[in-house]
Amino acid sequence: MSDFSYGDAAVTVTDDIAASHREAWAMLAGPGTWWTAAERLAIADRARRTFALRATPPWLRQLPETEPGLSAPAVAIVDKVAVGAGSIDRAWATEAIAEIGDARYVELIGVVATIVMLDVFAEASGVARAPLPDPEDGPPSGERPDGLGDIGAHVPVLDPFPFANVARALSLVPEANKLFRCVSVPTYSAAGFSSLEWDTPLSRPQVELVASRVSAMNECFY
Amino acid sequence: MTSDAAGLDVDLGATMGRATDDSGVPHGRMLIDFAEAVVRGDDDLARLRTEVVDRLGPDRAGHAVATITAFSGLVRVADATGIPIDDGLASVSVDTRQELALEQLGGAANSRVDHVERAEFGSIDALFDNS
Repeated sequence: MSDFSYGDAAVTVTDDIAASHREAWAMLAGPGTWWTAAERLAIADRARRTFALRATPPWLRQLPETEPGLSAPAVAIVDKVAVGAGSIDRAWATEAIAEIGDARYVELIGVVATIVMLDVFAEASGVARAPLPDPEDGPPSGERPDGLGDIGAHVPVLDPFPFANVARALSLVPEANKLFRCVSVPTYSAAGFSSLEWDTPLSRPQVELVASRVSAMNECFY
Repeated sequence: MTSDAAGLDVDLGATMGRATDDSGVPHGRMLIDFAEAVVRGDDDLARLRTEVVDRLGPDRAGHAVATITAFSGLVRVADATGIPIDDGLASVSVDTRQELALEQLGGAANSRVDHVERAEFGSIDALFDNS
């Protein structure tokens, strides 16, 4: 397993970020709530191969339509979330959810978003991507939380909820939310958004400029 | 809002990719170029990273990397799940959304904001009050 030490990174990597990447790697290797560990790693592997080809036009990527352990619809959803999430509308999401189920859809999103973050971090830092871990045995837990509601999203989420909507976007599958937040929270906090005090290396306007540009390039309105 | 507090006259169009050499944010052009190279997977990413490290130092470069990383994940979760924009945030961002034509973005269909009335920024907590 990669130690995510980032000793060869061109930029400063804080200890909490490196630790969060190790933790995410361990979580990714285990069974999830609706996918086995082998399926989760197949999702992650497909997502990182698709994402690595994001500069290549889709018709030239030459990736197979299916992957071992994943159905064609699941592969299509992985690809869309990895490189075209900004074009997902209700009709597309409804069809995708009809194919694999709402909870598996949410867990897939969590895995794809997490591996994309880890690969973005590696590329931007100038380090090699870590090879995926070996899958652990064991069945998915199949747990569906209580207290779900419809707030107009494509999927049910916890409702009521005292924080921003994005923090409950994956709440249908708490384990997926935990995996995603394991990586996103330390980087988001490092960016300074969790504090009103601007004691970060970049100034707040610089951080917001970068964050806004990334969001706009991904066609994200939220 | 934060640019006002920081005493900067910021060209928000830079966030939408409008050609500009100076966003009004110190080193803004370089930071945008770096972020764009990461998002697109450009071949000149290594050169741009070196430029950021050389000019701003490894700590600030690491801070930029963390920001790009966080938002690369957040946008995928937000758009794939279709969560709507929080009510408070919708109210205080009316003018900015119009100025930047944000409602033309693909993800805008998930949020019905055409009826939202303009409100002044009050507090961070109010931004995410969905009651």
